[in-house]
Amino acid sequence: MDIDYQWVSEGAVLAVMNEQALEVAAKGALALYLRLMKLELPEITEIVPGAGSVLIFVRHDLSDSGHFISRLRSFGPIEPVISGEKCRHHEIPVAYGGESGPDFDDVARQCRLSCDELVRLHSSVTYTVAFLGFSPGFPYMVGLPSLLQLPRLSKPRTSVPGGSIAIAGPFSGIYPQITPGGWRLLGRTEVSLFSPTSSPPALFAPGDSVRFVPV
Amino acid sequence: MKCWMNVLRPGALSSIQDLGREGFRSSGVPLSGAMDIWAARAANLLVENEPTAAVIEFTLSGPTISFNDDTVVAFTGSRFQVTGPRAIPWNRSVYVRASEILSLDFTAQGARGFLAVRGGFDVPMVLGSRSTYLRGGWGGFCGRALKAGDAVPIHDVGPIVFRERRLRDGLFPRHRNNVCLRVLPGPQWGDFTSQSQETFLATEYQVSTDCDRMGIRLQGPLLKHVTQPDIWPEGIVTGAIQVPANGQPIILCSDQPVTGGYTKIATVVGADLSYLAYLKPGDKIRFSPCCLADAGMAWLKREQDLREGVI
Repeated sequence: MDIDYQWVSEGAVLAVMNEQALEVAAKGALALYLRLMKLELPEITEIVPGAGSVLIFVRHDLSDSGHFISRLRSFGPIEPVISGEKCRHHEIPVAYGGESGPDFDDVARQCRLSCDELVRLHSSVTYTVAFLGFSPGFPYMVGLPSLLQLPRLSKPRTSVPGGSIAIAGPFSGIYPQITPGGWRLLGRTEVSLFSPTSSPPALFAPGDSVRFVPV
Repeated sequence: MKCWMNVLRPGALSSIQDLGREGFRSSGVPLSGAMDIWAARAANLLVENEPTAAVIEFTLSGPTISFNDDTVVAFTGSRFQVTGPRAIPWNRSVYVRASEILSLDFTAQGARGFLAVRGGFDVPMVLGSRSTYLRGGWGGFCGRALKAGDAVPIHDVGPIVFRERRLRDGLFPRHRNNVCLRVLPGPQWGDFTSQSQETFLATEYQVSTDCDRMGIRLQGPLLKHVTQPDIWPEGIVTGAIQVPANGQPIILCSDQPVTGGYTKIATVVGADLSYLAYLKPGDKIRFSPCCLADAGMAWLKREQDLREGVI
């Protein structure tokens, strides 16, 4: 897919995937992110992937902004990927439903699934971490079966427990710590997703693959 | 000898900040850092620290402090009322004796000020920075705002030699309660109706009471989207101006999440970000369009001014 580049500030370029399907765009953004990380261009200080875009922070003393954009454009179109060389696979144990998943029954009802079918469907796929955002360590994963793609809650919760496995739109995610949140909560995991004193601090990185394992 | 700063009264919100936590945004870790990096760096230059040394950022009402040993400090940013016997000049190096009490009260000017001490505050580096991430409760001093009774360690740099340093007059313009911020369009400028684009550049917005280190909510005429306010989540820069469904702009600041799913009509240029540190409820803001080249030049000019600004 083609990529549109635009300066969003004098210190950052936003690369937007020219693609209508979110999952495909996310995998294109992931591909660009992995490629730029590997190239280690000296002008680039930080790279932040998004659902269909990559935000590229550059040094403020970049002498020729036009030249930099030309260089990015010269890389040409990008092919979507689901993984990269240094990406890891994670198996995440999940306690589905009950108190661990306060929206589980409602999701099952809306999707016309039995509880067993919902657990099986959500845990049957291998997800790809497209990017992290919202709060430290929070993974936005693509691969959620289309049957389970429901909108966010109309009324977000003021407090979502850490470890909550959640879905909203095309994404599955996990809340690393207690925050407000509007996603639908299916279950909970004990796995720690983020610790500021660990190296690296986040369990997940863009391009990692994830399977949920019912316990 | 170990040095520390005693907090007798913390003020409304005083926290340890440096120039921010770069390099971990792709893990979802916000930049944090001083809301005015120029004032933080200037304070450090005045006390002969590295520009990256940790400072105190204080808000709306300032702290009352003392030090256990003689030291040199500097206050920058907006001027706060000084109470107590010791006068505190702003924008210059100040010699402080052991146990002398420095007492700040409220500010009649902008919302924030900065305090640097010779050696810099000695709190653990977390993910390459000493900035406090208040929302997450880590970094800085115990991951929180300062409280009465805190003893904040300071790097020991040996015997104190006092050298008079001050900032050039006019290096930091006096805070006004109406400011004009230069902006670059977008990234979702085109998602707004042409009438709303005009409205955005013509309106004098008012800062609401809902303003903090994450964002500054503005009040003004509603801005309308061509289709809808939601976008696929994408990375955000500090100074981006988000407009959710309610049509009221929010200027995103240091502690904002690294990605967001609402349209952004414009972005405040880097050279004007420091004004965000001083805005208070009721202040007025206008936005004026700027081109990329001018934004780049403005940033370089501020860098040059700071280099030449300490005498």
